[in-house]
Amino acid sequence: MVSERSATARAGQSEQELVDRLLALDGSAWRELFEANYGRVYGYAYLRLGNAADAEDVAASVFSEAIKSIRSFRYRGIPVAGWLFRIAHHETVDALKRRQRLPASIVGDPGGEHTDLAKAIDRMDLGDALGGLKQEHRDVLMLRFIEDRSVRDTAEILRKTEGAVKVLQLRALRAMRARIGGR
Amino acid sequence: MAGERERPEDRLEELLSAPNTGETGAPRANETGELSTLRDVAGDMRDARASIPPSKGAGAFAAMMNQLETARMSEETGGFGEVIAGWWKRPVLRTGAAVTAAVLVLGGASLGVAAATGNEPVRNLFGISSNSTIKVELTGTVVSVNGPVVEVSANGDIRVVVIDENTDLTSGGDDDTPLPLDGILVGQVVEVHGRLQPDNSILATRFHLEDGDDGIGGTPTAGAPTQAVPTADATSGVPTVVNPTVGVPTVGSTPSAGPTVDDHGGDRDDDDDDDNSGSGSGDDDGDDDNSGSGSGDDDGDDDNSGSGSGDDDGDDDNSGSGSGDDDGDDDNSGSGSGDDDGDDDNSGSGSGDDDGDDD
Repeated sequence: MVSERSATARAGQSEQELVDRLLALDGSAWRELFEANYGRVYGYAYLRLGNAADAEDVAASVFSEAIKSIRSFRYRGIPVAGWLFRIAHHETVDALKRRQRLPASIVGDPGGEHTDLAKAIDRMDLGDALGGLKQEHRDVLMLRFIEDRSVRDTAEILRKTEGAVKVLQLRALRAMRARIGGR
Repeated sequence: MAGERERPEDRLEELLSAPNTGETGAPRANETGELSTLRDVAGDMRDARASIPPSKGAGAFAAMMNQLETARMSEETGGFGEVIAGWWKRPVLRTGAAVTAAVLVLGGASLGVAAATGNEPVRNLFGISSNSTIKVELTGTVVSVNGPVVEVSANGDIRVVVIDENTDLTSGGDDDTPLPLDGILVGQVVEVHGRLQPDNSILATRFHLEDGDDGIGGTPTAGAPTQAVPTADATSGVPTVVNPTVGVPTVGSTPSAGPTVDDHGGDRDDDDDDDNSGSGSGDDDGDDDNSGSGSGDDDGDDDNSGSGSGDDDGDDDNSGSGSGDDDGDDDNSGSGSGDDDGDDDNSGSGSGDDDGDDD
């Protein structure tokens, strides 16, 4: 526990350093942020918008918007990645409103032992369900299952302990289940 | 601790990390229902991942670097204007700045008028090119409608919003259809984007009913009150002012220091969160809790804070009395203290453990 906490504290320090560099408009910091988060931003946008071109547009907007807004960011323990992902959520919602386009179904062929669940997901777009979750639930699900990150990686990114990530994961999956079928 | 039952979050992780079949990953008899279903949900998300086409993001990266260069240039050339714009956001400083500027630069009676009214010449003087440069965004509740003049209550303030022929007036939501002026009703929760006018009113460029991402629609309730309705969005709809030079949003009248993650591009609060935090409560930290000052630990960390009330679980319960019912279930519990172990029981001996750790 102690080591886990100190690791979290160390991560906080480095996160603060990253924020300072971002605030200074340090190109390498922004590159770092981009490389660490582009996939998640793009993936989330794709799930909600249903096509790659729109998702890329949104992802581009997210990072541009982040630069515009970085001065408003104050590091209070919430990681930059979380802030960025919130921008992504806003941008995606705006894109959906502007384009008035229903997100494409991204769920594959249902079948096998998951028939009931797959039917449920057929009815409710997975991206929409994700979009309706609480921020931290979206974060943990995106990191764990869309980016396929480990619990440890997820904990580092979200500045939480591994135990907390597991609890969040459980709650997030429950919330997701409720949104896609209420089983 | 030896002999202690395994926590469901640990067991779930064990299931997620294991193949669907096999000794380790197979659900136990008493967890077949929920945990195996949750594993399936996770599996479907993993399947969805495979459907996402690859993107290296070269275009996005180039756009970001261009934006970065623009921001740097803006910093080099626009610093003074931004400082003044920052002052402009504060009524007291705004008045002072206007008076000072007028005396220093323009002089004479005409300057007195400009300073007194805070009008265009003064603003131009400070590099704020016109009254259309200060952007304002707010979400609030309509408290009166008088033709094109609508009063909106947001965060305890009543803001006058003027709608003109250029205002994008829509119903919001997914369909976002055009809305007639008489479609604006007292009690509706609305989102306004506009520009600050010299008289402190807002000339709306975009005015639409809140789309109810959080299940809160723009439809007024019967007998809508004439005062602000404390809905989630209304109370979190802190008016924001966007810096005219770089579009940096800052919190307007919110006493809590500075913007937060929820303030990207102005606080639109269409982010599906469920917070009901208001100004001054200090809780605007990007989580979805309903806590105000001093209550409600919902940060998923491993501390033991959270004394006082604070139901913050994303469930449908109405709990909050007692301490720290945050277990993701839909019960209405809250008695006892701090049961937050992810299961659905109502236990809660001990106090304030909301952490998922093993202490």
